[in-house]
Amino acid sequence: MNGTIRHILLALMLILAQGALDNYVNLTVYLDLSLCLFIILTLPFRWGTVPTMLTAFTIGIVTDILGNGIPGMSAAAMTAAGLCRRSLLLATASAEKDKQTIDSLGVRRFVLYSAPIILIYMTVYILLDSSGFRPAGQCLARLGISLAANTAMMAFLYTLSTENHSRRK
Amino acid sequence: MRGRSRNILYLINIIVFIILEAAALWLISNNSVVQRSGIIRTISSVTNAFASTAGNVGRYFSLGKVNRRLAEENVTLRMENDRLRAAAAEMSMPDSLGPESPLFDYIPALVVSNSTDRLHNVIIINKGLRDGVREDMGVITDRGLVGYVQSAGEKYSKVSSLLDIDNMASATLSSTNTFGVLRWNGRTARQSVLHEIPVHTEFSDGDTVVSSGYSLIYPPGIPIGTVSGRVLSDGINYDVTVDLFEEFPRLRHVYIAVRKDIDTLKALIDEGTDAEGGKHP
Repeated sequence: MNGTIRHILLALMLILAQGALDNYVNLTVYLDLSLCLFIILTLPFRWGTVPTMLTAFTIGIVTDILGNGIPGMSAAAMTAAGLCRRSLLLATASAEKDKQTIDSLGVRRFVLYSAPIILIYMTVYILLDSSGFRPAGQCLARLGISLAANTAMMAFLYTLSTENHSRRK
Repeated sequence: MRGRSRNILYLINIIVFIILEAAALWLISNNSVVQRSGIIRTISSVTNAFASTAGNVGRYFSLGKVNRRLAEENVTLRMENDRLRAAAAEMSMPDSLGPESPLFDYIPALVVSNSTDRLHNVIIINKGLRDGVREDMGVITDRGLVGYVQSAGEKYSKVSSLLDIDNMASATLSSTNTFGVLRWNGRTARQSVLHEIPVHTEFSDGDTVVSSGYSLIYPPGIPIGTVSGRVLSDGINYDVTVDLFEEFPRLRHVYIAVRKDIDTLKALIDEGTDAEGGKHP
């Protein structure tokens, strides 16, 4: 199975899982989990910003529709994350950027790269979701908890994904 | 070249980002009342801030026009003030003797050039013969006397500043109505000296000094400054130090005082001089 098909299958699985999570699991008001962000984070290293943003927007819309959320909310947050992805990836990648792939980043670098993107995603998402009607303290707590939980989850998914990939090799 | 294409790439990224975000926000506002109100509130606060900034910039650039309009309005008010003051002073007079119109007309002008660091300071103003300015007309502001027109060109005029050691003006201590000669001592642009105030005159520091109106060129009652000190001179007169109201280094808008009956008065003075000349050749 080549990398593209693997990636598409992973994306489909994550989108379905996100839909199930949004519909059937009742998380507290202080926690938002975004599995789909992993798709954006693991897009091929050389992808430009525009294709990344278009993919992020599409995935966001699909997630919103499947999860019965407000259409556009995840899309807006995902697009913002997509805008910064490449710059952050280049900033955290090792010196040999030509040979670098997402899988070869390593968990530590992946966390360094994913945490700011999750922060951007969560900030936009929480800002839009609260729209000035929720207390700032609650929003900040939600942001902090969600950032920590999502960073840990992304690192876990990354570890799973790279282990699986290397075993197949 | 490489940097240029990189900039174009950044621009494309930003444009795509804005389009996608706008689409997302449009979707959100169409599907949720709460988010819609939040988005509208944010957009209106941004547009209000932008409109306010744009308005401030626009107002800044129209200040010149506003200043001109205010200067013209000031002229009208000054003339009205003169007329009312003259009418009040002549209240006891029979109507037939009362003043028909104010003594002075005013021409607003802008200072083009100004010096304050010499003994003979001059000011150039942007009004000349074609605007009705003639030699020996007084130049004032609402904060004091400025000088008199020394020479008038077609478009510009040269004004002998009050900060000229040879320039003299008649001024009055408003508390006692005692008049003297105001003459700059060449020390500082913030002070002048009122000479020939009799030693028996009772006045104190802080008293206001105004133009007397005895000269032909300055209207009466223009505030000049306040008394800040005195020195006995010749044993019979005080030289009174006056802190000027007008800040000459910041002088910008002035008015040229045009005395309406100047020709009649000059003719009268010339007639008297000629007569004296006849008596004493």
